[in-house]
Amino acid sequence: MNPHLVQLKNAIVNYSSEYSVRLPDVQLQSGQELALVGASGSGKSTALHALAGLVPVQGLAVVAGTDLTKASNAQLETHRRKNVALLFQDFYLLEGYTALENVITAFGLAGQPLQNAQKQAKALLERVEMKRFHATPAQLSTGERQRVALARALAGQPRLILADEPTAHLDAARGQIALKLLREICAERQAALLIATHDPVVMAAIEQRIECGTAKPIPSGTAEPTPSGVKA
Amino acid sequence: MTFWLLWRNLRTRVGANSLTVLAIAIAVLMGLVVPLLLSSFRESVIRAANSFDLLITAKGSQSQAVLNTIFLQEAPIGNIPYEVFEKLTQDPRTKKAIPLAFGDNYNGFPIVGTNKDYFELRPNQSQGLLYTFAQGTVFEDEFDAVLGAQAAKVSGLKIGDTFKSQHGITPTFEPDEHAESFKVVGILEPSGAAGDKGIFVPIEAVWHLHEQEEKKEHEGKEETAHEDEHDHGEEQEITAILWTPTRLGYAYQLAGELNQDNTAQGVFPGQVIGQLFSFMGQGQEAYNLIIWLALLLATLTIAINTLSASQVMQRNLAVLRAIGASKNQVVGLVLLESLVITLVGLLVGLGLSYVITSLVQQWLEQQTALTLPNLAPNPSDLLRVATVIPVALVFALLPALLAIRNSPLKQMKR
Repeated sequence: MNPHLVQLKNAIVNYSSEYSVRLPDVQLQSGQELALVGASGSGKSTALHALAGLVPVQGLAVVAGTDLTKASNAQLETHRRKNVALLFQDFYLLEGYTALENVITAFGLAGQPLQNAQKQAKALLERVEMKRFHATPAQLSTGERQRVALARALAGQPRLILADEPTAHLDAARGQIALKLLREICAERQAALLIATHDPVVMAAIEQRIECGTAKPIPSGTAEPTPSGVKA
Repeated sequence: MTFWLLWRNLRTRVGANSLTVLAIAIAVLMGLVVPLLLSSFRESVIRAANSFDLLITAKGSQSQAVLNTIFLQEAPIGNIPYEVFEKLTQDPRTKKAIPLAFGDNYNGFPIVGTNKDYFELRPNQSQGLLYTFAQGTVFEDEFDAVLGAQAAKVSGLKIGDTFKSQHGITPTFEPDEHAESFKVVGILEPSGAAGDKGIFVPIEAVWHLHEQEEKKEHEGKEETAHEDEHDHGEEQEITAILWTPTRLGYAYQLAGELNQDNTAQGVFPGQVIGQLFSFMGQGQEAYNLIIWLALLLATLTIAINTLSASQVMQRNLAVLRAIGASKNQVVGLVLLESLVITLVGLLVGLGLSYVITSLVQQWLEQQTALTLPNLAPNPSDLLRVATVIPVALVFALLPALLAIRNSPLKQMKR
């Protein structure tokens, strides 16, 4: 049995015949945290998308036993539903759906009956301190949308949480709260956490970091952090 | 979960979806109501006109003759001598001859002078009587009256009540009432024929009233024309004769004979009605085209609704895929949404068709006393309006296929 929840080695995402992105080598076990840092275009987000099974990847790319390089469309759908949760930088909430409905949908797709999904969605939204259940994304502040997106990402009991610039749209105080929440929940659930970030606060908080573009592990506390709010 | 998502998506675009439902409902309404009313009206008219073979009236417009005598509409063309009827009763070719005399009304309901044979009419020989009695009996005395079902219902007259008829075929602001009163002795069951709004009295009563009327007029003229005095009561006239021969061929024979002189004419109601429907049929062909255009517009509305919502829809579908929805779920969701909107449109259309058909039926009954006997939609009309279902699904396939063809990431970022 493979002891690693996530294994990326010599992995490449080909966007076209002229443009491909080399992904960092990553090994991650359940409950571990890792930050992907690096300049814009260095492949941080691409790595998250590849691990979520949203872009085709070559090389070695295995998550929770699913070989992403060989998985069929159906297997990738199951992978997205059961193994991973991707917290998008732009949230991508379902438009026209309320906060509660966004989270219910994720629970439902993970196979929960509707009544359970409703109860659990409410509990999860309360856990992320989101009380405006019935507001739609257009009515929510950025911080609130971020919390709804976080609750939705956590709905399916994922084994790997991929967070793309989770603090990018938040002020420093709210960013810290969001990061704390994310880490607490991952720790509670023994889920691995992989964060793509520019935020020095995040970089300082996560012990293990990999700089994308170099694909070399960077020891904790030695990185030159870039200003937060810069899109990867 | 799929049904929850379906319900959620339908609610998200409730305005646009309602408009689509309305467009489909209107197309269904157009596709069902008019053909249904026309076919039902045709059936009703044919039923009323089939109860005899030849209509004998004064010379003039054949369609007016039919409208007047069968549908109790329009003014009579004129009168024919009663002796025409008397001769026909002696004619060996006659199976049945029924005289009709018009000229008076009671609160707008035409007074029809006739004989007892009128109540023996059958829509065709294999069917039961056209008119049956709900209460009372046929008239026996000169001033007895039998009321059609609608005439009784609207006028409120009951068995034993009396009323005075008014001169003329339509009610006037200051009705010119006859002196004699009629007594209601019978009320007919609803028949669906125009006779439902008639008030039937012995033909002798009509003559009697008009003799009185003419006498009054005559006295008013200070007895200036004594030579005319003896004519009153002798030249009895009637408006029409409903004639059924022992053999159908005799109807054509008699019509030919009548048409040779100026006294009367033979009218085949079936032919007149056939011409009327043939004319209407040309309009119906044009209307069929309009129905197809309406259905096309309805399906285009579905397409426009689907495509206008496409950007939001595509994005939401991509998000659903990114968080774990399968391609089958996404395609199923889009198709189901379109199917539900279309089916709701069809059901609303069917409901509206029923309501409007009932309203038209009531109106037609009040105006003409004709009832529409068969108000079940024609299967071919139903099939035609049902064509919106596959067309709507085809239109829905486009966004569904777009949603699963492209990467969810690309769709979300658009």
